[in-house]
Amino acid sequence: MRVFGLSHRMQVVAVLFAVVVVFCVWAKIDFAVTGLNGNYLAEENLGAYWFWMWDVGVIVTGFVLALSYYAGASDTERNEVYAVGIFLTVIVLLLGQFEDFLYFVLNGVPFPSGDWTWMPLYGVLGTWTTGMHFVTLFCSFVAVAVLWYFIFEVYEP
Amino acid sequence: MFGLSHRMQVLATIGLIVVFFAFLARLDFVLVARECFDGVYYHLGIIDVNAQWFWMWFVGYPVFGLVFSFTYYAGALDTERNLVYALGIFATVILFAVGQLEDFFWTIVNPEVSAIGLFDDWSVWGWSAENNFCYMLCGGWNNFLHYVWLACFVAVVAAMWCLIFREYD
Repeated sequence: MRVFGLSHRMQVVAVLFAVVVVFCVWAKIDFAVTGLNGNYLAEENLGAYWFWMWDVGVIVTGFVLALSYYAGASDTERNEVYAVGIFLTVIVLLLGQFEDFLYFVLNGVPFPSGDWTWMPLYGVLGTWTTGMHFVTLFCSFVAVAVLWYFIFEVYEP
Repeated sequence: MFGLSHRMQVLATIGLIVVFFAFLARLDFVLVARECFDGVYYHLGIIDVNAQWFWMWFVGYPVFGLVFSFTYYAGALDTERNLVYALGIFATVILFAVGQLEDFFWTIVNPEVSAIGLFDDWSVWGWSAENNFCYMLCGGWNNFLHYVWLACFVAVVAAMWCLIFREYD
């Protein structure tokens, strides 16, 4: 019997939801670190925190998840693609700023009415607002959905 | 993968989990400490340490363990062996967490700490008095106790996987 009687496709979808849970935990950690009474880490710590949490941490977590999947799977092209898909899902959700969305939603913090001045994209574009954030997030959701739609179409029709 | 046997693939996963703990140690350092000219400066009052401990360690470890083990099982064939392997991966994460592997890596992967030899003596781990159940249980906690504690849990993990491999692989 498979987990909860799920098909293989549904088990992979359940893994994707587990990835969402990981992002939720990150959002809670992020709030504990940066959201306490307006007290923020020192500049050099904040830079290091961003680097280790979001640049290194997400990649390491994505690798662990992909390898965990592939370690148990039979050695087929399908499972290789699934493992890569899991890794890409983590990366795309990161780039889509999914954690930022959860930060505000899960911690009861209102979305900023002005620019998100702390965001790297604000430095690049000169502006970054909640509306732009939602558009980016929506695009990342679409990208993940399209990715898995095609993967399932090819390998699990 | 890379021509590895299934057993070696599982060991590679466990190896990556160890790397994950090393990453957590680095992350932990940048959150609670920073290097200053004569050592390491701690600023525990800046962040909500209790909330950070709760979400990072008490919630984070079980969640990460569950996600890793479930991800393994989702890709595996539906056999008793793979179910045991998935449980083994979860147990490995929890045992490493309880065994304080992250604290061990804290002194290893952070050159700011190892450079000044902060943990060279048998200093009491006074900061863990409120959150570390070992400290509360023993009334104190130092490097020696930490190493013994960690060695026991590493031995348990090794023994567990030896038994699993002998039974199923």
